[in-house]
Amino acid sequence: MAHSNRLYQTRDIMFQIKEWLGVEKLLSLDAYKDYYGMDTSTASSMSTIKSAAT
Amino acid sequence: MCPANKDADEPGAKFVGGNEHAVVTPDSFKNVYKTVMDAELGPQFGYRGEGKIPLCWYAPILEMQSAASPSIVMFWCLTQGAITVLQEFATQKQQDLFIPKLRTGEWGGTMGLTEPGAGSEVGACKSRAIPTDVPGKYKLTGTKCFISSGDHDLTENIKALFTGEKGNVLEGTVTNVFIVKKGKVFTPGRGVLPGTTAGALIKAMRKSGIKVIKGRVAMAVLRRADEVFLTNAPRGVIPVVRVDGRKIGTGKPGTMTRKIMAIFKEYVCRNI
Repeated sequence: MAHSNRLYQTRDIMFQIKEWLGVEKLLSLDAYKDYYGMDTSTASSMSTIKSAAT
Repeated sequence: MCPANKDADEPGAKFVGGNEHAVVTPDSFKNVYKTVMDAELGPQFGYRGEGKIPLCWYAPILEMQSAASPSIVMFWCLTQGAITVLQEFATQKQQDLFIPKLRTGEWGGTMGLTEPGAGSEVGACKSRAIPTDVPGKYKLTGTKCFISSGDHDLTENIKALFTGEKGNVLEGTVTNVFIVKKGKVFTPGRGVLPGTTAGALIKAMRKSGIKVIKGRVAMAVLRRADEVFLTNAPRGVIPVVRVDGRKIGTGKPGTMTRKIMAIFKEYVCRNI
């Protein structure tokens, strides 16, 4: 059962995406560079945080 | 999503019957579904073609969505799977028809895969699609007892995908199938789960100079094979001497199968 209080911290999530998963480096590859950038990835995550928690 | 998760238990989804939308979801689910679809945070992650989104980008998103409500997240996760399967197995015409609406969440996906009990042997689950009087419409019967997102009122259409090879051999419940004909080895190439033992054996056979061909294997070809054998992880190479009660070859493990068993044994000793 999910909880109503948010256990995730935005900072932790952004650390996972940028530093741990290396999405920025990944998005520079040919398969992705013409379609997405770090700003779209960040916007998706922020949007998810908002829609998941509220 | 998080507050709506409570509604999965109480009031929960209701079965009301009828031919369309026999299952009614809680109102809060509809709001969540629309929000997620509008924000493009659902089915589009299953698309693996040009302009695909890297899955590691989706990993933290899925983590958050699943933590907020595992019940709701199932609706678009299965659509993601349906998109991926269609891209792999469907004709171009089918892809053009289904994928655009699945990607936007206008249509939903589900899967034709559920254990008869709570067991793990999914391959034992048999289902049949029987044609009705209406062209292109089938009645599904089988051992499935439930199916996630199989019916609901969040989308106008729900795609239940079945892959199959009419009249062709695919695989055993927990085995891969190989046949020997005129010194060559044949094994089904598409629509099968890639077994680790089968993969290792193919490599070992090719290294030993045996020609291995991956492609369609008709049932009729299987019955007329010189030799047949199966592979799986616990038992390695397993000779088959009868198919549908009829003898294969002499009715005993053939020369080629015995040779392949020896090749595999040597491969295992060297590599594992």
